[in-house]
Amino acid sequence: MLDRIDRASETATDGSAGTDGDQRLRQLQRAIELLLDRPEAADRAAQIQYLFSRPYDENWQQEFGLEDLTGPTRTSIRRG
Amino acid sequence: MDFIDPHIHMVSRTTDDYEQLARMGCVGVSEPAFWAGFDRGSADGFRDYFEQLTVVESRRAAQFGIAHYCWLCINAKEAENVSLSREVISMIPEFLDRPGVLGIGEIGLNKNTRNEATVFLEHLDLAAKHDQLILIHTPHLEDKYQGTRMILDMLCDDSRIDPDRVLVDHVEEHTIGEVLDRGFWAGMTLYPTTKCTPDRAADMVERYAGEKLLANSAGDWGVSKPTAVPDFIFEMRRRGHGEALIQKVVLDNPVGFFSKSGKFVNPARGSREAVV
Repeated sequence: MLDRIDRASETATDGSAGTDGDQRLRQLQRAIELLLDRPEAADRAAQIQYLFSRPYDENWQQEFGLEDLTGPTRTSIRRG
Repeated sequence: MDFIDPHIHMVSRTTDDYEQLARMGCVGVSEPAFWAGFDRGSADGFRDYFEQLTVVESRRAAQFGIAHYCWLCINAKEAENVSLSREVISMIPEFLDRPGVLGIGEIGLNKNTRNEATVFLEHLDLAAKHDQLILIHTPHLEDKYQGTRMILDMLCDDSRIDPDRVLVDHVEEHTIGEVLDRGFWAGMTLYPTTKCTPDRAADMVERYAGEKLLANSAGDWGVSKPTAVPDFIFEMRRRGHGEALIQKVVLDNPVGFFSKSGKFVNPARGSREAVV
């Protein structure tokens, strides 16, 4: 199996960059680095979880057009 | 040790599970409204479900000395149907005065879509207008961080919502800190496939102490373990933690949060004020 990964890293059948260009592979490599670089860190698990999470966009309410639903009972203060 | 499972879907479980839970020390459960495994076709389907939650299930639980409480909503998985969601939301007030109803839940996001957020906001409005406690479902896996932040945005943007009256469930290592920092209660769900294990829950208690932390099984119709809270108790004991800290997470905190509803009676032995 590992030889297939090696070959895939060189050439992908669809002409793309192969596994070297695969975001998932980069995430796995980064996760291993995090675990090795900070073996005693208390937030290791959280850092790994962040790595594999979809990014948060603080402007999501504007993008969804949901600001209209924030009526007079709501504050306009965005926290965090 | 007496314990409460604050999030378990007993309509999906067998009577044997009630018996097993009782033998292991379970004195109370709270059951949020949930997706049935298929999309219900009409508001009447929810009416029947709410009847089951508020009447039938409490009778089943009482046979084993377990107090049963519940939460009402339309789950995020069905929120893509906004018109059905609105029909259900408009029906919920008919049930809010029933004795075992603690509040609105489990509301939240699943795939973090616009429709889910719209229905979530309308549930928040319902809870605020009827002064109800809120139980939150956060999404899973790669959607959890984004979805939890979106949920916290909506909760914190509504000045009517008191964080001390909201329990945010399914927290994991990367979401627990912000939930607690903002003053909410946090639930750790012990689940075989997603969410977290008893070991990871014990890690989180060690990192954040037991304040405002609860542990639940979220046992449902899928692969899940209704006796996961006792697994957590044993893991905490194995690590040498004292009984007071363990009891805080599995009994005192659920009692503290649920009591804010005004309807909850502590079912623990020695403090029982009502017969279940």
